[in-house]
Amino acid sequence: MSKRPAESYFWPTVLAVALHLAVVLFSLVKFPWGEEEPPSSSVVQATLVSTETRTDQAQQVDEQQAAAGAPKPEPRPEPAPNPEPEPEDEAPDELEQAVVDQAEEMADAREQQALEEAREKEQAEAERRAEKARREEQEAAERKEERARQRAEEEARRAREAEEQRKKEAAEKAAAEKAAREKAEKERAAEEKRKQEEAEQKRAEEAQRKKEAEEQRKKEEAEAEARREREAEEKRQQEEARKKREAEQKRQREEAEAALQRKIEGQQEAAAKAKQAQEAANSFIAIVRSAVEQAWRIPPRAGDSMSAKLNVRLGPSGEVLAVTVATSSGDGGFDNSAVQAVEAAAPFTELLDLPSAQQSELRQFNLRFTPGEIR
Amino acid sequence: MTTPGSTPLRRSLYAVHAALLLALVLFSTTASANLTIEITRGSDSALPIGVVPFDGAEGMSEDVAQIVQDDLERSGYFDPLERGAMFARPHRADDVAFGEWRSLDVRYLLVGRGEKTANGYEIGYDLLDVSGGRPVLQERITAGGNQLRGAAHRISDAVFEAITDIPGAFSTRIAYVTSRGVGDNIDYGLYVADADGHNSQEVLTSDEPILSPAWSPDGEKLAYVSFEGERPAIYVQQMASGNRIQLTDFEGINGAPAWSPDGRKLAMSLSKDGQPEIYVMNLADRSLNRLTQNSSIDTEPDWAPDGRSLLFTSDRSGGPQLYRYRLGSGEAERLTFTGKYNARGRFGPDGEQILMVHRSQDGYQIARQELESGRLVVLSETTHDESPSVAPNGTMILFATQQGGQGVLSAVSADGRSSFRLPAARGDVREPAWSPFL
Amino acid sequence: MFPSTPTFLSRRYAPLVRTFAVALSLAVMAGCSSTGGTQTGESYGDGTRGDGTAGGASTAGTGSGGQYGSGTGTSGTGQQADSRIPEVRTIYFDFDRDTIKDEYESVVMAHARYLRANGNANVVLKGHTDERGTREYNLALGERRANAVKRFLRVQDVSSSQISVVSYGEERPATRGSNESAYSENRRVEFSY
Repeated sequence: MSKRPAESYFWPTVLAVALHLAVVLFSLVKFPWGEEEPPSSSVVQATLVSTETRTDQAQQVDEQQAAAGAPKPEPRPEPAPNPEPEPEDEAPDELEQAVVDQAEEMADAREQQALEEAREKEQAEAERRAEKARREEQEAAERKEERARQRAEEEARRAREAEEQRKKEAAEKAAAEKAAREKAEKERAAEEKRKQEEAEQKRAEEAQRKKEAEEQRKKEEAEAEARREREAEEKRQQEEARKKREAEQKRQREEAEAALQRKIEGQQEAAAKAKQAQEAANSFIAIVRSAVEQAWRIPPRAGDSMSAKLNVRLGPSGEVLAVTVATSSGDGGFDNSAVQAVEAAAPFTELLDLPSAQQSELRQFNLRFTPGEIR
Repeated sequence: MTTPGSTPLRRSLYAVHAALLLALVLFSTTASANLTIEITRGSDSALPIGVVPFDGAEGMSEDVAQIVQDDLERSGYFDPLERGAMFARPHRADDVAFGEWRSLDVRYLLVGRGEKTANGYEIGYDLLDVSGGRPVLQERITAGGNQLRGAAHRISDAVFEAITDIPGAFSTRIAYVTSRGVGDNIDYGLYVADADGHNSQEVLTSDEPILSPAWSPDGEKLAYVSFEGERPAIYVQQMASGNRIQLTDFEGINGAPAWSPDGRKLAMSLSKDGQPEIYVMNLADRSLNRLTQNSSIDTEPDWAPDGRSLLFTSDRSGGPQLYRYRLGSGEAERLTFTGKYNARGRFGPDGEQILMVHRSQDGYQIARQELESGRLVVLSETTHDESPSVAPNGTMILFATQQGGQGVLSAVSADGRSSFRLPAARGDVREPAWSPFL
Repeated sequence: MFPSTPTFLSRRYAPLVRTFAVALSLAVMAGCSSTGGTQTGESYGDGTRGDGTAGGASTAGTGSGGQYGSGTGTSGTGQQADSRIPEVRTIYFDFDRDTIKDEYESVVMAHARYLRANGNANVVLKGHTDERGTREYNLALGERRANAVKRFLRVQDVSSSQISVVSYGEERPATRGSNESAYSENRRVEFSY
């Protein structure tokens, strides 16, 4: 608008200027009606909002149109159209004065209107907010679910790792114990031999006492040995029980996982099955349509606008049990030709290829005969 | 009764079938299927039908089944199975093994038998729906000794109507004009015959031209133009008695008689006032009412089925075109705009379309125009065609054409799908007029 | 003088009668200069408006009639000829036209002379068409041709009581056949006494 008019653009420019002037005048006359009064309280807000974000306004408008509701203290989006009153201020004084006068005269009505509009907009805003909150809530819930699922997976993984660690440690411990046992055995043998040698040395000196002591010692040793073995056995048994328990836990965990997996797979399978069933139904319908179209001899007098609807009932193996004219074409010959087409095309043995649930569903259907596409 | 076999079994099967159907009707009730399959394609070809030679045919002077078969074939609606292709020749519904006929893709089957009686013949026939496996029609008719052809045409009418829901027009008659010779040595004849061209009977012979035969709506009288008084005059002749009257004797052309639907008036073209104009004569008092007033040719009137308007040919626009004169307003409206030559219009029985002679690039052909859309369709495939005359049931249009330099009668189905030629009569044959239902 | 129309060329196929007709017309025209020339220009091009055409022709007709009168005065043989029915009694027309062609005006003139000279002679003008088109419409076209000749005769002061008109349309072909040669022989008006 600030461009200087080129010579050849003289008249267009004049027209454009005139048009703009007209627009300004028009707005001066028109705006006060709806918008002049509220500005006294909302113009500041208007400038605030409008300087903040243009796109937000657009969005807000969209969202308001989308609708939802409950009030919230936010800058009112309502002043969006208000930026225009500003140029008004720059308009000629008399006009402004006239406008102001007029505006004052109608102040009450305008105020009322403005209030209502504000209320409406607040309500819209509130609705939008509620909708947003609902959405966020939903998203949060979804996120939570997702997190929970991830956590569960993580835990399962950690549990698996821990179990492995435990197994490894148990194996190491078992090996160490075995080594200790062997070492103790060897030491014991050495001691025994030494003691035997000592006993033989002293055998002469201590006949009875030695023998008794020897016996005593042997007995004690046997007892100790038995105790050690017993202890070892106990430990071994405890270890086995622990292992068994852990294995059982592991199995259960794995089973649970497998079950979950199966469940997921089962859902997919059900969907696939449904899809398969739909496809089967569609293919049956296509077979019926094609067979009937091939069998239909359209009577010479049939007009393009003629149409007859038949109700067809099939028997369990696709044979026609009954064909009835549900809606007559008004031409008996035409109706006859349609009934004949179905009977000549039957039986529809492909019905037997369908899952049993669908077989019963598709044993009754309508056929509408309209010779529109031919000739 | 050459294949007795499984009659009781079949009867019981019927009983079971009927019981089953009844049960279905009773118990199907509420279950309404929501699925609707749209059928938008089909075949234009004629319906296959088997017409089995009738039992007792050896003792009859006419092959009734063959006459019926020919009738049905000529209609263009049916495609009869050749006798040689039949596995069996049953004569009663009970003897029919539907599966066999189904395998031949026969949709309907006509079986029958004739017996000689004291006064002629008694003929029983069954029309069977092969696809549905059920009888459609089971009738018994009698015929005089020399009326076997008529009986056959009546069977054709019944079969045609049972399947198509359109009354058959096989029992109607046609009138036509013949001529032999050249220049001053020409013999003219006016004849009537069965719709299939058989059984022709002479109405009038003359060494002066005869033309434009027209049936009265009751089918009892024929109006025609004869030059027997050295100039044209309109005559009306009773078919039964042969009695006739000379209706007009005006100067100039006395031509193109056309009966009003109520049979009380005759429209015609008279040139007594200069150019040919359309007049309507009240037959009771022979008073004349002139409809057209101009210096062009106005001729070939035809009444609309409702009797409220007339179609006629006029060259007021330069060449011949069809116009419609409304008796209420007295105004004539041009109807044809396709091509430069459209003449001798005839209303179809429903009054919604007209037939005419249309000059195309190929020649003079029979065309049909829908009045509402103004769409014109050429029906005939020959190129010297004239005098279209519509069957009373609207299914066929009879017209005159040429074959090997001779005038012959031909017919085309109303949709143009099929056509046939009537058996040649003596000399040139032309000006066919199809009777009303008799 | 002779229009080089396709129909004129096609006359080669016409029967001898017509060749003779041309010869006669040549002779007559040589004798009585170009009397009819003015008539054809305006005359029967439009046969639909009977009265108007007849009026126009009669103006031209009286003029030429005067010329003709002087012409016959000089020729004694011509008057002898008027006592006999002219031998050429058929004239031919172009497709879909009722215009009397230049070459046949002399034939019509000869008949006019004969009829004027023999007041109690009556002629039936038989109009014919070729086989194309519908029969009743052709009846009307044949009548139009015969009426064109009748007007010509009336212009030549032949009494209307001596002339009657019958149209046969396509019902009495002179020759059979579905070709232009046959058609051109059948599009005709016959003078029948």
